[in-house]
Amino acid sequence: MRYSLIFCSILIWLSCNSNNTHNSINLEALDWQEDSNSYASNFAIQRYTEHTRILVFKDKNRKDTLGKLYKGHFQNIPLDYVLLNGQKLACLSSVYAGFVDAINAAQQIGYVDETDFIYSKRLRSLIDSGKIKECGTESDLNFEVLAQQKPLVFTYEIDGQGNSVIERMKKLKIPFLICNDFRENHPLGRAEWLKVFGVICNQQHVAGQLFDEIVSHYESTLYFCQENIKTKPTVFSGAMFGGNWNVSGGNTFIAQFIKHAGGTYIFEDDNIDGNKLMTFENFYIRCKDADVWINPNHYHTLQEIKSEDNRYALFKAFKNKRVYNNNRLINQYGGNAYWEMGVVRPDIVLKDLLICMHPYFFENENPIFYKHLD
Amino acid sequence: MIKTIVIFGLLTVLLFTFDVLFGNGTFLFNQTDSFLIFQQFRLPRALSALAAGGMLSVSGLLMQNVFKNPLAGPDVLGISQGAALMVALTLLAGVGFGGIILAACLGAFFYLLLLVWASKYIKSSITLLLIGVMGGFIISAIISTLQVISQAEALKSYVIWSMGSFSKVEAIYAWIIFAFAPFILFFSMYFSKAFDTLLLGNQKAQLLGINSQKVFFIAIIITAIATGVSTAFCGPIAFVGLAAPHLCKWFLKTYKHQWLIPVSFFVGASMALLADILSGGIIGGFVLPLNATLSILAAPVIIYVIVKKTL
Amino acid sequence: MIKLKEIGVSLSKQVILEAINFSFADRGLYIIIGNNGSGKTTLLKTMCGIYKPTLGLVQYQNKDIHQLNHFERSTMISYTDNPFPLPAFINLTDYIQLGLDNQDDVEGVLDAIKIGHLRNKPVLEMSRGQQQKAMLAKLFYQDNPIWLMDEPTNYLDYPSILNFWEQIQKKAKEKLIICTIHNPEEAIKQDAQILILKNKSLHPLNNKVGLSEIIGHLTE
Repeated sequence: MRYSLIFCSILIWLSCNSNNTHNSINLEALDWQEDSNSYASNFAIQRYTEHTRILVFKDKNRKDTLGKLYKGHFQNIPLDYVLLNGQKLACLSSVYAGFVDAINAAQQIGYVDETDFIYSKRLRSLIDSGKIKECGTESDLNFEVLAQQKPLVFTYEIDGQGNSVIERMKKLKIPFLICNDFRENHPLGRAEWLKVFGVICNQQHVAGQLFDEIVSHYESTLYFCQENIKTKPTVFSGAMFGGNWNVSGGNTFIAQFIKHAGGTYIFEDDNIDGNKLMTFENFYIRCKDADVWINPNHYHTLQEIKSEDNRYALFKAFKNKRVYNNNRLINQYGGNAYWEMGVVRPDIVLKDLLICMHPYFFENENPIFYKHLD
Repeated sequence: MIKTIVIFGLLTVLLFTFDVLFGNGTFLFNQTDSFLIFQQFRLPRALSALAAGGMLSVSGLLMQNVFKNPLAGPDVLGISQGAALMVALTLLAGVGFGGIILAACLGAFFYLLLLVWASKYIKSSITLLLIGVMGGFIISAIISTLQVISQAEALKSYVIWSMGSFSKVEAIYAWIIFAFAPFILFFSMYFSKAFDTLLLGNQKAQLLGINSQKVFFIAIIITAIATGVSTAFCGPIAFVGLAAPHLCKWFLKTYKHQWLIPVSFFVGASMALLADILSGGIIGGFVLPLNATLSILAAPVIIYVIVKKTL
Repeated sequence: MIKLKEIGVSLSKQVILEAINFSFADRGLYIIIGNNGSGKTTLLKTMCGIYKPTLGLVQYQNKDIHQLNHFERSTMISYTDNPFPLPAFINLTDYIQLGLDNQDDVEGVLDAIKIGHLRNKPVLEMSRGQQQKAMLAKLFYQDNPIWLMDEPTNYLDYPSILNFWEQIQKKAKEKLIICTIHNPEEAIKQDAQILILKNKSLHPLNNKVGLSEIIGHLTE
């Protein structure tokens, strides 16, 4: 008698557990309709009646999924989905804080990686009033506070030891999303991620409107450039790092920017999605006669560049003082507005690049994020 | 003996020429601006590789003698890290590039003094070696901490500096390094007899009239200058100081420093030049990190030494 | 000649030798016998200047040896204990001459120690006994007026031991030679002044002392 009682209770306990997994909704089976994206290829927003889900992919082939989010009234969703329920947000890069701030949802942010590097006034006042706290960068993340508060963590795909960070977040059941915006090929594709944040922060309308504005402004700037500007300066970007140059490939969005701003990117013909390394010498040979130099690492003045290595002065772009960097707006701690706002507003960046690359055309206008180095 | 010096001297000259002509994966005279390329890019690389490789190798030879340990070398004992720490502190304090060579030499020197002080109390050379290695780790940890708390710009400069490379050396600095090389070479050779006698051990050398302390100190100064100068401009260079002396002894089979010093200079120079050639884009257009290439070249030598010692 | 005046030596806070007083003559053979740990090595090392005595003085020709620099000491006193470390790639002839400005031919010395046939052999390839002889040959070659030798016959085969003492007896006519030995049977066969190192002090023994008496001292 006693044994059968024990046996029955074990059975019941087992079936309860299996009921739990059976009860989780099979979201894949729902008939999802996908919102079409204009430019982005690394995410998909799909809807089914009042449910919404966001899928993030490694690339446009959609073979690897980096994350899945669900918004709706189902509570029992599969473990590989993150449930969006209005939780606070944690941004491991100021880029994401920029996205959220742009759609007027700054107050939903609970944490940023380093408060020093935040530029926007609104975010800074939230930091000063203690509403936004620091959670550390990916190399020294404050797991304890994240595990307790369980905000939704926006992170990028961390190379190297980053996988252990992601594994640990999984173990501690911290909800996270790997944002793959920087692998978009088109600058507008990157900005389109506003829609992702729009869903998450319940600001879909604001996000949609803002994106439309950005697209139309970008396209009109592009059109203006194509119609009116005929000369195409040659452009290169970056600087040396340990004897070698990290060169962005021809398919990256920096190459796109240069092309759209009416320039010829020196490396536009090599069909690379990412970066490659070149020796200083080889880079010099290819770029020595280029007209314009943009994004020279972190330098602020030509003197700084020259004192780092006097071979930089051999470039024609340096000799003609056609060097521009995107660090015009920085706060006293080194925080650069470009990373927060420039990513969200590629239309402004495009206009900036136009002004830099064709100064005779825009004599009375000044770029916002970029400055002319002297 | 003379034959071996000549052979390695010629090898060095050969590799030097090859590095200058083909070091980038392209033939020098095919360029439109050959002289400029030669002067600004090819020559500095080859000069600094030759000089740094040679000096570090001689230092390694002397370190292995005075510490009585075949695994001693400027980088293994943490001396490069000592130089690195001083450079990090200098950069973070905002001092420009000019102060770096002095900082690197001072860093190497102070670190070595610390090692010498420790060696007074620790007789076992294995223990001393372990302490050196741990010292290297501790310093790396300190540097990492500094990186975390420092401002972004200074941090970037340090990270840039810390990747060892000959291609980042500008022309004027390459000549400076090259100027030190003969000085280190001839200064070491001047004390050849003393280093020979030191092979019998500090006690026996002392009984034969050699001031072991003084010779020890001289070896340290030579190492400090060599490591300081190389590390200041090229960043930390791995393994040459450890492996090249062993290769040299394998070829020469003598105890006499009047031969060991010049040959190990040329072996070290050749090794560094070879690594520079291989990492500069000649292999399939790929740019490889210098220290990784050096490790691959040096690893078989080091493994052989370890295996031979334990058999 | 060497005078030991009130020598006290402590190492690592342990007193090894206490109130040692003795005068060695300018020439002759002295053999110091003692058990393991009695301080034989410490005494010799103090006498050649490797250790500085905690108390007292070692005097050579009425000068404190620690007032001299080690180069001056190196022309007066030689000391041997073991041959290590031995450098690689060095043969016997070069080893013997290493660190010495002596221009003499090594053949005389090789003959005396009877290792002429090893003259070109790398010392690292020799047997332990041969390495011991190499060390002795080097001491002979250095030819200083005072020889301090710590257990010089260790590892030597019987004929070599006999030959060694024969050579030492010859040299003792012009030099001061002090050896430590732990085997009294060997000591007693030599024409030498024997001293016992016991209880941190040095006792000279009578010339006619017998073996059993010595053994008695050692086993007390």
